[in-house]
This record gives sequence, structure tokens and C-alpha cells, in this order.
Amino acid sequence: MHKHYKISDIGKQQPFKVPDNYFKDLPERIMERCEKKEQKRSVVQIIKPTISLAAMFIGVALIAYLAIQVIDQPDGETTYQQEDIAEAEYYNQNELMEDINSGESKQLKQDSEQTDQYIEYLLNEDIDYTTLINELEESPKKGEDNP
Amino acid sequence: MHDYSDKELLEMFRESDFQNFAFKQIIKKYQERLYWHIRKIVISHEDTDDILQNTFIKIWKGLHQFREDSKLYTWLYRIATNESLTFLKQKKKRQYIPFMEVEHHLMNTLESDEYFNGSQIQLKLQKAILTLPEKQRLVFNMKYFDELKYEDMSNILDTSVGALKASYHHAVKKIEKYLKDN
Repeated sequence: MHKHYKISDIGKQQPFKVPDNYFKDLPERIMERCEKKEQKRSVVQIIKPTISLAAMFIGVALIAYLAIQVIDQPDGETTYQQEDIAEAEYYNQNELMEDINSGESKQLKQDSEQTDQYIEYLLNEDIDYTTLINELEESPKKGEDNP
Repeated sequence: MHDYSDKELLEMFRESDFQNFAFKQIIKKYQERLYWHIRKIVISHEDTDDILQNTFIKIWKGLHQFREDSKLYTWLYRIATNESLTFLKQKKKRQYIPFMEVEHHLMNTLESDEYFNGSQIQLKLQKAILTLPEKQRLVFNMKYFDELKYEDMSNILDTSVGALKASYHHAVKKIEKYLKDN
């Protein structure tokens, strides 16, 4: 049978214990940690304004540099590209027209000289249009017969 | 050694020349009370040691801003309680202990604690306390072992005196039932 315990029967003494000298050493250990924290804090307090100032200058310099890059470089590139394209277009147009003109005129000159020669030949030989067509139609067949 | 009042200690702490001395006196004055308060919440000595040190470091940082609207020791208890509860929450997260098993985990710690030297019935009482919900456990320990007034507990736990009295009453009933059944 279980004994019926009341809380008041048990008492209020601590059932736990601590290592020897724990409470004797604890204030020193805590004070050491507090002083270390304090030293860190004072170092940070001294350095913080300098770091902030340096960071501010670096930030301003970086922003200025980036701003110059953004404002100048793309415009310069655009101008260069535009000029380049314009020059190329100008050059190509002129060159092309020159080439076309000179090529066409040479070809036309050659063609007209040859046409004159053919007409002169046909007139001299007294070959009419029908004979010429028949000859032209028959000439490939002759070529096939005589390899 | 002269026992300084809280008022004297706070006045000394505000003078930079005596700050360290005053704080050391505060540690000496309250270390045991806060230690046992924390120990009853987290059970293990090692965990209590960590939490107690962190508690005093927080007190050191915040004491400059402490306005004497409340008593110093209720303010200290409040910090120690919050630190202990935060520790238990973090432990749950770190070790993936399900919420309902925290007390079971603490019970295992209690049984294997090399710094537990109570009798069998004291061990049984501690186990009974660990079966209580967290808030009831706090209230029971603060009232039964630390003999704090309900008004002070109300300041520490941000709970009305009526609710604390009800909590304590329920806690006593549950503990007595546990002792009877086990």
C-alpha cells in the first residue's frame, strides 16, 4: 500500500548540490567576462567613428566612380558605334555604287561590242533570223554526235 | 562583510569608480537565489551555470538603464526566468525534442544528475514537479521553494495575482496526486 505523502511532509531543502567552491569562484568568472565585453565595446567605440568615416569615403568614391562609368562610358561607346556605323555606311554606299557603276559600264560596253560584232557577222554572211535559230537548235545535237 | 542594500548598490554602480565593486556585490548577493531558481527550471548544473553567467552579463549591460520602478531582485528574477525559458526553447529546437517530451527529457537529466543528492522522496517530488505544465512549474517553484510573494511573482511573470494563486493551487493538487499514485 502506498504511503500518502503531503508536500509539507517532504520539506523545502534543495535536493541538488553544486561543485565545490562554485559560488566562491563565480563572481570572479562573471566579472572577467563582463570586463572582456566592456573592453571589446570600448575598442569598438574607438574604432567605430574611424571605420564609419572610412566606409563613408569609400562609399562616396565608389558611387562617384560608378556614376562616371554609367554617365561617360555608354555615351562614348554609343558615339563611337554611331560614328563607326555612319562611316561604314558612307564608305559602303560609295564603294558599292562605284563598284556597281564601274562593273555595269564595263559589262555593258563589252556586251554592246560583242552584239555589234554578231550583227556585222550575220549581215556579212547574209544569215537571216530563221536560219540562225535552226543552226542554234542543231548545234548542241552536233556537239553530242562529235564528242 | 557589510551587506549593502539594493539602493546603495545601485548608487555605487552609477559611479564609474565603484561600478565593478558594486556589480561584484550584486553577484554575491543574488547568485545563489538566481542559481537555484534557474537550476529548478533546467535541472542540469552545467546548463544552469551557462544561463546564470549569461543572466549576469545581461544584468551588467542593462543595469545602467534600470529605473527603480520595480525592486532589483524582481528584475533580476525576471531576466533569469526569461533566459531559462529561452534556453529550453532553443534546446527543443537544437535537439529536435518534441514539445511534450521536454519534461521527460528533463526527468532523465534529473535521474542521471551527478549533482543530485536528495532522498528518494525528494527525487519523487522533483519528478512530480516536472509533470506540470511550464507555467505551473515556475509558479510552484517560486512559491514553494523560493517563498516569493504573489505580488513579486506577478511582476516577474506578468501574470495577475489571482491567476498565480489558481496556478499554485492546481500545481499542489497535481503533485499530491502524483505522489499518491507513484
